Amino acid sequence: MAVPTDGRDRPAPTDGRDRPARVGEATVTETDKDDGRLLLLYRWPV
Amino acid sequence: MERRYDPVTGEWRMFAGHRQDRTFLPPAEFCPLCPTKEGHPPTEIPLPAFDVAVFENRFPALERRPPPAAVSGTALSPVAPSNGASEVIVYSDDHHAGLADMDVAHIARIVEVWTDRYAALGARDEVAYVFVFENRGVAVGVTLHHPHGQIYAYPDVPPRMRQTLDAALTHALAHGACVYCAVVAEEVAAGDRVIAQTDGFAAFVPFAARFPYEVHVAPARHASSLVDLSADDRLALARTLRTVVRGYDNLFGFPLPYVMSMLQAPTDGSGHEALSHLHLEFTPLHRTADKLKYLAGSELGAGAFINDVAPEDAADRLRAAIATAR
Repeated sequence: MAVPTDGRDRPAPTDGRDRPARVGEATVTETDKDDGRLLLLYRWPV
Repeated sequence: MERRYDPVTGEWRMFAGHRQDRTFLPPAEFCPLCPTKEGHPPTEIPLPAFDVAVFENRFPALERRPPPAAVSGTALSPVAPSNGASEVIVYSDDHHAGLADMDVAHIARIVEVWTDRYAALGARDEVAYVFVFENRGVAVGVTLHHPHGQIYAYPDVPPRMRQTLDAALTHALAHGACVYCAVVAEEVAAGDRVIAQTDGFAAFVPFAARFPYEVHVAPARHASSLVDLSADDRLALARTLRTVVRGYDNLFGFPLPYVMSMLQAPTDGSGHEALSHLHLEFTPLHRTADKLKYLAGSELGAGAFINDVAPEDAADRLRAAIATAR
């Protein structure tokens, strides 16, 4: 197993982390509420 | 609102005075997490029905575009804006349905939403740790009854997670392995503190539990975060979570208040995957049906926990509760 050589000497954060943007079969609707707050609605096929 | 640094402990703390005015235990007909009903004032969700909803908290401790710090700090005690996110995840549109009441398939959907938010929030450069949690029950400070959880995206790794990562690094340097993998393997082998096992997930009362009925839920194999789980894993996790909560609700005959915390890899890009083992920690406060475990002098003053219930006894009782639960 790869072990960091020094727990304090960590590399700087990088952009574009390789993670999936969506998971499973959900349809996601992303909107801003009237006061600007984010609202996400997740819906799955029946 | 702002974050303030305590140089004595090396910790950042969040200050958010507007939270004093947040909605407090409204009656069900005024629940802000229920669907909006025709002819009634709008709730947080402007639809008559929904599966799972997530929205930015109206009373955040951290937010995407925070105001400048409300106070000035010093070189010794700096301040910073409250960068990050505070989100509410509404588990379903049913005001009364918690994890104990739902189909496993729906709980697996909640796990999918957790995963999506972990990935999306974690991808923001200013976010170092995505913390998924649930406060359930008035005894732990819940202010809204409708079953829901929260997600905080912190700009730095919080103190407890830093402590666990440091301990994990120490173990890894000594043994070349993940400490939590070793803990789960030891618990499964011993068995006397395991309360449920489902398709590669184990639920157990930790050997050195802090709280009388503390339970951890973890995959036996190493998974550093939610994104490492397969669809089958999410179902197994969902099934295990429901088993645990049903056991809790049968333990003393009432819905047991708890805090559920999810620990997983930070998202600061610093390569903690080998050290982080995804797991959930349930920390109910009750030590008997009518007595709470208070955090008093030793815990709050010294950070040294005293547990009045042997973990093996707690596990015995939880296994019995699970066996006779619905």
